[in-house]
Amino acid sequence: MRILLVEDDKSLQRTLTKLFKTQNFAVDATESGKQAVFLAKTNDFDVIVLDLMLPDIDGFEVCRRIRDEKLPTPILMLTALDEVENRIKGLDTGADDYLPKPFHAGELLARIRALSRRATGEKTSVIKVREIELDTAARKAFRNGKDLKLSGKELALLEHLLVNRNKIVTRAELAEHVWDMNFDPRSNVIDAFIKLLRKKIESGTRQKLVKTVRGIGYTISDEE
Amino acid sequence: MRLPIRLRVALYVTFTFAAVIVVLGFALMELYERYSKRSFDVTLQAAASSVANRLAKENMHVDVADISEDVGETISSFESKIGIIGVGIFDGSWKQIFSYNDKASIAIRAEIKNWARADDRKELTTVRLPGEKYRCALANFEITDGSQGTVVTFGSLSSIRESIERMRTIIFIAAPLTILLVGVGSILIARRALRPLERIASSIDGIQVEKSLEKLEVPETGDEIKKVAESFNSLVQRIGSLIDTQRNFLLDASHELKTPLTVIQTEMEMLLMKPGLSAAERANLRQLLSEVEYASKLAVDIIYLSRLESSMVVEMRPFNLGTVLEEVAAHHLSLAKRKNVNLRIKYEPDIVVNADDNLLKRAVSNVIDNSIKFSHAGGEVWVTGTRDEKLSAAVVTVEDRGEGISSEELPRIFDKFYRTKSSRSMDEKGSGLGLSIAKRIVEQHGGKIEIESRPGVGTTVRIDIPEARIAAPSG
Repeated sequence: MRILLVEDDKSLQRTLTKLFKTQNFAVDATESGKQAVFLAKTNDFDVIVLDLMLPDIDGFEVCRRIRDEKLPTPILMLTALDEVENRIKGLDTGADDYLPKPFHAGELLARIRALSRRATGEKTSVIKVREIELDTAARKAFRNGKDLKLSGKELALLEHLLVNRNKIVTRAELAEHVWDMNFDPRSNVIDAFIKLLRKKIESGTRQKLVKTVRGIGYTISDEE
Repeated sequence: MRLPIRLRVALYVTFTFAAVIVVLGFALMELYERYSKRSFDVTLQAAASSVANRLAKENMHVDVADISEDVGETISSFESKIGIIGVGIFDGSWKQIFSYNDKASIAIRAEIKNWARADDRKELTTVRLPGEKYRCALANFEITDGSQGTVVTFGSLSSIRESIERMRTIIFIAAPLTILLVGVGSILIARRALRPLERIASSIDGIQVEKSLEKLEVPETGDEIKKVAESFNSLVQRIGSLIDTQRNFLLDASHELKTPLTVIQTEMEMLLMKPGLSAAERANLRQLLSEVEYASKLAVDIIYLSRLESSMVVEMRPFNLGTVLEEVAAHHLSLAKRKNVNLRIKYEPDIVVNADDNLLKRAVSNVIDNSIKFSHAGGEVWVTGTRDEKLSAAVVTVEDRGEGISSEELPRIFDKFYRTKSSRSMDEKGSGLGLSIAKRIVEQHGGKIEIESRPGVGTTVRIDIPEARIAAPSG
């Protein structure tokens, strides 16, 4: 999951980035509204977390400009202004959710998960494909009920493949959603992580869960 | 204690006026007396001269009867002015040859003769007799034999004294009456002049009672009262803007707290997520976290309350009371479940309240929140919605069988930041603003909120919202 965090308070930006990293979200952070619009246009984010008070253009304007570009990325507005009018205005300018400060970290994460689920069509935080079960809230993956003990990046990779099951996921896509914009596209990091992931989730079985589509990317399907 | 201003003004005016009246009265009497005497003298002298002139023209040897007629004719025109005038006519050897209206005794005649014959005599003299004073004047005339005759006129001063007495009586009666009139009049005028001041005072009292800063109506009189009203209004405005500044500062400060509180809260939650923490560390962190949460709640509630107090605008719309109570109760189900409290709700259907539903929800919600918190495990909280026919008000009651509030703490329960002893010892701290917020909301709707409690028995909070009606049957 890749998140665009737009927050002008440096220390909150740092803290939230840290929080998202604990969930193995790929995070791109900015304090500028204009920069945020540019990033949203040029990258494929799963969720945009948007503060209202920004030094250049405010959150409402950022939201409006993103929607003007016909970008469907879910937007979660984050703000100290908790009057009802602001919530209504935020939702009406195209935000999908609104969370007033101060909030609980758990609630913020749950809302982000819910927003990304809404975009992908999942209903709960647990995704089940064949004998693999991924709990996106607890950040754990199981096979036949047994904890696979996946690392953060592996979990993020698996999540993206599972959410896009039965579809071919390109390397570029993985780079976009699992890594942030500092990712070097020429490296073979993705292949290396896929190899690690396979080793963990396919150990002790003959089944190939993650299939390689030569020259394009990878896929996980519901059926063998 | 000093007398009220209007009495003091009236007394001052009355005393001043009385002093003026007394001085004027005495002066008037004095002047009148002098004037009366003077004109008496002048008339008396004129009478003497007239008679003398007349006698000079006539021959002295005519009949005494003729003289009598002449004198009577001459004198009568003077008598109309000063009353009866006596006349004595003497020849050169001071023998009286004629008298007219001579009621005066021998004594006065002798006195007059003495006075008239003296070389250094004054023009006029006063002759005193027991009980009466006479004023005398004289004039000379030439008798045909060349000798000099004298006409003496005299009149009693009693007529003057009478008129002076009359004057005095008039003044003695009129002056106190006038003073009394002025006194009463000045009280009335002072009261009338000060009435706008009383109005100002009563609207200042109103400000204290209503706790709202409202301006006075400025009377279009263009006088000092108008100035006072205008000064008062500008004072009110200044106070209002000071309060606003204060409130905005509080609002801004609380706003500014939100972001750092979020940072602290998030960092702590992240720490708690970490595996490998000991139970003690975890407990410490949780306690810290609950303090941060308390601070956050404070900031949020302060902002909410300041905003409530600054904006008097309530967005009224009619809504069904039962629906709102259901919604609020649903909101508290999880807390009730956690505390193992049975939240029960009962309401008359079709009660329509005209109010700001969001605010009312908040008020009722804050009350229910308290009731659940102070209930014992397994206890019950009753929320009811009824309508008071007499007041035509909607009545919401929230009743618990919890620990109750002591009579010492009860009067302060709506105070800002006031927390009862038992609430201070609770794990989940409230901001101490919940009931203040509820009260503010209810009062903004023109309603009232009352609380009854007995320690160990339970607490009942009653909220009245005016202007409730029964919905017209639909269809």
